[in-house]
Amino acid sequence: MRLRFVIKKKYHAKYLFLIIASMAVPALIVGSFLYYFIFTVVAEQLGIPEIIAINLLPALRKVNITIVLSIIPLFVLLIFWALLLLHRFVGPIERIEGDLDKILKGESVQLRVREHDEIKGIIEKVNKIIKKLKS
Amino acid sequence: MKRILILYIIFFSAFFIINKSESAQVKPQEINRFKLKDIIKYFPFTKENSLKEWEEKILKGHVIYKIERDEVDAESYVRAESDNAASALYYKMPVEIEKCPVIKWKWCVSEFPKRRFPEKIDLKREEDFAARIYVIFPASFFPKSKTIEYVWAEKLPAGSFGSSAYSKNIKIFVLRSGKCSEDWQHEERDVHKDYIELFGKEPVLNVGAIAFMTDADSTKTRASALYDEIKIGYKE
Repeated sequence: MRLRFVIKKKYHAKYLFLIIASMAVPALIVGSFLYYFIFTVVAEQLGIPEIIAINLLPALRKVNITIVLSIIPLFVLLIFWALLLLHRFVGPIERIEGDLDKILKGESVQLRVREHDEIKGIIEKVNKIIKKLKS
Repeated sequence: MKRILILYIIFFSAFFIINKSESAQVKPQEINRFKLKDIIKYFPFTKENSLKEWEEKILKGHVIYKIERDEVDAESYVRAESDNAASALYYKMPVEIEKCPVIKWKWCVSEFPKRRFPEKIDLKREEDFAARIYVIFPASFFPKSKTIEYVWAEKLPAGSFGSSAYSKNIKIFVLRSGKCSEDWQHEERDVHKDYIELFGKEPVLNVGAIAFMTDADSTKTRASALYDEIKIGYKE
């Protein structure tokens, strides 16, 4: 698999931010809500402060430590996943732009496409149109 | 001259340390001081099923809470018996702190938990009291909740108070000490005033629940107490 992470900077930063935000923001909202809701409901059920202190506070501390320890690896994983997605969607755009520039200069080229590119179908059709126009 | 000066400094340092220690003392409020203009809830414990409206909250095992009737004067009350157990009876009710709520009850301890160490307010390993009444101020984020616990201690002086071993948001206030000399001891507490004395600031949370508990789980011994006529209302 080809992993060239630096594509065109203007696409790169924008889409990387969008992908990370679209994954992180809902996760953060749902996670915060669950965190608050679960602990509040359990605390309400336990009722007596000593029971809460003995049973719930250690659990809360463990969850907090787990969150703190896992947040950096999770963020790294998130960036890695975002870059993979970015290459499937934004990579072909960069390539098409380059190929179209060559066609405009009069070169005879076909738009390149990779097996897993999401816009493979469109590129194949554009190649057929270019072929028809030439003939 | 130097010796006198040193003794003088030691004396005043000891005086300030004693005054600043957490087990401070407040004067117990007089009884029958407060007339209630608005009774929010009254628990006379007259019926066999009087405890059904209370929720049991379990820390360890089950404390036996039962309604008993005195055959001589036909008076009924709650008897709590703990055998190496800690569970409380809890009643949820909203009480506005701004309206100066007062809680009244009567109680009597029949058996104290047996301790191996001197009785202390903040001793976690023997955090047992024969009788305690909770006034709970729940917060939207539970670690911020506050609690006042009125306790009946065996050795601690009446009027002493301090933070619980579990949290600084739990204040333990010793109302009675030693054996129950008479049949019943009556209490009435101005919750707003007590809150300011115990926490040192105005309350911002409302009362959300009251509870009572007899426990002897930390000492792994037995404890027993009687509770009756719990009443909560607003001061006139």
